[in-house]
Amino acid sequence: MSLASVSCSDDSLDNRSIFDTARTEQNDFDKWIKKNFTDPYNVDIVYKLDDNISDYDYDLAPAEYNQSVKLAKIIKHVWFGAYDEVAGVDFTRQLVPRTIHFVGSPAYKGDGTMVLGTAEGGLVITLYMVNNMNKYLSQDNYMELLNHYYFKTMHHEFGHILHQKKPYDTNFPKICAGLYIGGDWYLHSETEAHQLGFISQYSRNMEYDDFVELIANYVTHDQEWWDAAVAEGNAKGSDGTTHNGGDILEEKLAIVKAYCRNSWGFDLDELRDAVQRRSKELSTMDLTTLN
Amino acid sequence: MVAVLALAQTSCSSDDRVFDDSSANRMENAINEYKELLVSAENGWCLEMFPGEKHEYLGASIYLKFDKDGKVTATSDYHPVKDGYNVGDLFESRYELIKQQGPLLSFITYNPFVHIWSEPSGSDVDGYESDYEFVVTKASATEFELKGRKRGVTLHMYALDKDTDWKKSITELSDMRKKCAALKTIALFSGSNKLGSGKITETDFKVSGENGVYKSSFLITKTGIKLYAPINIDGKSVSEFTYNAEAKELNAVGSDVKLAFEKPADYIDLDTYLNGDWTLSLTYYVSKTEKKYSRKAKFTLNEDGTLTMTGAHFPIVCNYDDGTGMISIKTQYLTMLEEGAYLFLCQCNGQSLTWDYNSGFDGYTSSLTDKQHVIKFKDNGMGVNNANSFYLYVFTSSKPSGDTMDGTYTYYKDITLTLTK
Repeated sequence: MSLASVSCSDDSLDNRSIFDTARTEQNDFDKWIKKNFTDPYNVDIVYKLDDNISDYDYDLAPAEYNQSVKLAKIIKHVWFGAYDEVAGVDFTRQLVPRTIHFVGSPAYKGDGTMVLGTAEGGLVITLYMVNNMNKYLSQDNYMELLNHYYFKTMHHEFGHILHQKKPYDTNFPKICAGLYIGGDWYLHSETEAHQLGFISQYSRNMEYDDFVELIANYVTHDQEWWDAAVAEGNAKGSDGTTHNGGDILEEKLAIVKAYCRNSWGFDLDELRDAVQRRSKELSTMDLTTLN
Repeated sequence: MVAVLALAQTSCSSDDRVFDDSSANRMENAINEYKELLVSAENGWCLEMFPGEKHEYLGASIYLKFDKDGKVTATSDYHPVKDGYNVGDLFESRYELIKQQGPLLSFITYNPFVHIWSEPSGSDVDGYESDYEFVVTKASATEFELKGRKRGVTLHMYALDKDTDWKKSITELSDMRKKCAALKTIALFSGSNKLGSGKITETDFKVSGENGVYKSSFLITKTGIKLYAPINIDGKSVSEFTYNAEAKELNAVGSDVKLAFEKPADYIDLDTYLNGDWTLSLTYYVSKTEKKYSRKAKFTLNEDGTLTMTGAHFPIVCNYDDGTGMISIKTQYLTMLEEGAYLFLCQCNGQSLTWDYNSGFDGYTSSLTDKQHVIKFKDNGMGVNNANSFYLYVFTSSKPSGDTMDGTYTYYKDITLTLTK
């Protein structure tokens, strides 16, 4: 008796794949995401909370559908749209994270502090507190809130992807060598950061963060804001000490601008102008209709 | 060799297969079947939500209507936070049946009536500790059994009758919840045997006696309350109680166990407030020093059922609770001192004060003898944290706000009311 005869002769291959995608239904928003993010940029927006890709350690609530629609439209206009305008759609497609994940609630750590956003290796970026969109949008200073809670994270992570692909000037980390303090960054004030030549507290985490915080903060604020930070960095302290943080900020910004121009072919000021203009346009945009 | 081959051949016989289809196809079929069942309930479902790994907090009825396109409409008879959503409001969100280890019913976009039970907050990072993703463990046209994916708690969902009017039904449940909670102070009986005394709230009861503590959270039904699972009381298994308005009690279904309103030992009736011999004492602040103050106090009844107490520097409105016989004092407007100077009684903790009219202090019995009943006051949990005093605070407008704050007039600490019998 041959071994082959042991196998069951009446078994036939099932023509249905067992690797069927888990989710099949496409609602209007799903279709809109496909048309506006997946097809042009190869990016998926995951607004349906799935604890498999979110962090199982946190207790989270999903994003609300209508507020997710608003945030997706804002991202398209202010983030992707600005990059397209300044550097072209190929640039955007190449450098944005592959998945943008929306979570409705904040992610609270055990001590009650919140995580604003996370990014994993430039592939997935998670934005929390999406269910506060309506609240933020109803405020006069909506752009400041959106910048703080969403956009700084986006540009920050984008900055990391840039320098991971093409290294920046090796002179950059030398300027503030010895002043990077890792996890203790939040123990020191923003004023102190400015005085030492850092644009934000988090810039002091490590040199890469210093670099990308300059990009993120520069494009999300106007010239007046930048000038004020520089002025504070150069001002005399309350105890009479003198600082040159403002000059250091300008020196580092010049390196960042040169890097954007020479390595990637775009002008950081043009990007900032586009982001600023598009942010203002949000106030008159229809953020509800899916088209 | 012959034996082995024989075995191998036997295993090929299709009659002996445990399953007649691949696991992937069975999963696919289960998903389709469950979806059909979910959608087929014309008037939707009632999910009996008991959040918490030990279902210790409360029970809430969540009404859910699933449509075939992935939309779910929800409301609930209980919503514990002030987030703009009220019981009975309808809210639409999305659901999906997803293939995981088992078919998973997931509420994938935010719905306040569903996710409130798993949503974190800064002061409570794991919230009510429920789930919004449930493994379907049993399903029929009338009942689903769901097991929370993260917390593992099993919940049940029942198809609603075709003629259930959601709005009306939710209102009924909400009213019943208030009625049960209004009993406030209760005793637990098995037949005529009293097992202990305790309290009932909108969400749970707790009774202590010689033989221990009896407690449970509950869900509200049309007729009374229902526990997550039966509990043993005096050898009797009870899981549902029927509310009896006339007798002011909740009678266990199928046994002679009951939770009955019991006047607390320190109960003070309204008449005693109005006609008793009361003394008000407190510590206040004047000329940069703290001083003790003690005077006879008198209560008068207002049309709205509140009491006005005189005896302090200004008349103060108190709330009387005829369930407990206790009074409480809330943040309130006192008087106009002069044009543009409005005096308010504001709950305070020494650092910050509030003009939230819900904040204040609840009276409690600090000592009770044949001759004297002493009432002191504790923070009512609304307003500022760890409130310890009332500030008599001046605002420049009759509408207190951060912009109209003017200054402190004095403060009241250690407010004590003594009834001399």
